[in-house]
Amino acid sequence: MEYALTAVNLSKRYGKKQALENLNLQIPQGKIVALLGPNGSGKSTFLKLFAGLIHPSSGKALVLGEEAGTATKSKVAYVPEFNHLYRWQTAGEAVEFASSFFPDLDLEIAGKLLEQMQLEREQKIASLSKGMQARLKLVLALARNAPVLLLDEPLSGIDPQSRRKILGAIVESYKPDEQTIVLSTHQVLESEFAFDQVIFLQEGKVALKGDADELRKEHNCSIEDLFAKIYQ
Amino acid sequence: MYTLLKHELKRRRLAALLTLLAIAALYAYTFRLLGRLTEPVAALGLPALALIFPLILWALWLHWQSLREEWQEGTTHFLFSFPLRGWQVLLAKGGAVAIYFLIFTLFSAVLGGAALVKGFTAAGSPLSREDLRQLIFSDGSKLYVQYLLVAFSLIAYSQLAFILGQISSRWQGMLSAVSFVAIFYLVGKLLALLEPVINLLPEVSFSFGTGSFNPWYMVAAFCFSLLAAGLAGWLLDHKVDF
Repeated sequence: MEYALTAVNLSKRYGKKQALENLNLQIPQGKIVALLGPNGSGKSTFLKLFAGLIHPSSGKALVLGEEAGTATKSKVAYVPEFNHLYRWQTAGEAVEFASSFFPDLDLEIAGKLLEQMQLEREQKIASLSKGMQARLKLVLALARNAPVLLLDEPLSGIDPQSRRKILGAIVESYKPDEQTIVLSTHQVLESEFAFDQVIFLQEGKVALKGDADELRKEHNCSIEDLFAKIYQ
Repeated sequence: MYTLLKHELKRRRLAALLTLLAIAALYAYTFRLLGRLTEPVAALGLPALALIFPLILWALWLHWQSLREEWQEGTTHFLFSFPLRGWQVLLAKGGAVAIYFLIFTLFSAVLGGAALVKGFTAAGSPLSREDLRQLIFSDGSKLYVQYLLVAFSLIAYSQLAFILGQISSRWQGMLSAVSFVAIFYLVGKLLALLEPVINLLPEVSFSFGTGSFNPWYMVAAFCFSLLAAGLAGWLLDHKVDF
């Protein structure tokens, strides 16, 4: 079986700080996987490694069996936590700009998603609120037919109304068996209904991982409670 | 890559428009000044040299800014999430700067030519058609080609220096500045080492009135610029974390 993401002895160090340490794990295709952990546990580093934006200090990050890099970027839709879009572009321009590099970006779906997310094409990104920017970033990722979606804290610092819209759009747009979504979040309670699998990270290592339903059964509590137990 | 080039041109269009206006204003002033001059030599030197060096510096600054802004504004995560090679991104950025540089150079050359005609006419010795042809297509064009090569080298070295700074997790600005100076020092040393080989090559006339220059040095410097650009692209793909 080919895995969506595979970490082989994967380590990443920033100067003296060890962000990820000798990680070995496989994420199967066609699942929504939650990447959970406190700040600094290595979640963003993990996602950036598989997005091909940073390089491992040692080990390998494989996307659909291929080492993460320029060649795998067309298979991955990555959404960072902060606004990474050009502030001088309009929402429509950002969509068109991205579509020239990603042939799998469906402009019709993007248009529908913009409407659903209550975003105007002509609005300048600089004038959008944080919640609106987060929704636009998600439109760019969800309008693609990428087999792997990496979403870094898509709900962070956003009002409850926008969070509901974002979660709704993720679940609606998700194509089971075709796509794998890896989502890092602190909003566990709101989003845990969507998780198929959960990976708990702590200081760059896997603290616990498994099937979401089995973890709930085994520990007789919700993922939110399990999160509190692990990181207390 | 064409989309990225268009994107870069669009991004800089306001700065480019302001530069065109500044050039036009400077020439308007030169034209007024030329009305009062009697020496043709002064008329020759004024318009051509007034703008070339600032234009080269402008091109360098613009390129430096264009790369630096990606890091500053966090847009590297958007730009480098596209399936593009480092050299493609750098080529689009460098290409946009080169296109603007060319537009400004042509604009100032046309205005400069007009200034020359006006200056010589005011001095009582109007330029013949042959003189003008000689100035524009012989000496003048060589001068512009030379400056274009200087601009290209500066762009390539500056992007390599900037990227070398980004490899480190600390002191990036200082490392970039030190790298920029070090690259020039290295290129100078390499050219000095190559001197015996360059002197063996057949001579090519490259005079433009005030002196002559062996173009093989320029060819060597251009090759180093290509190497620098290639290395910068490779570093972006393999060593730089965004």
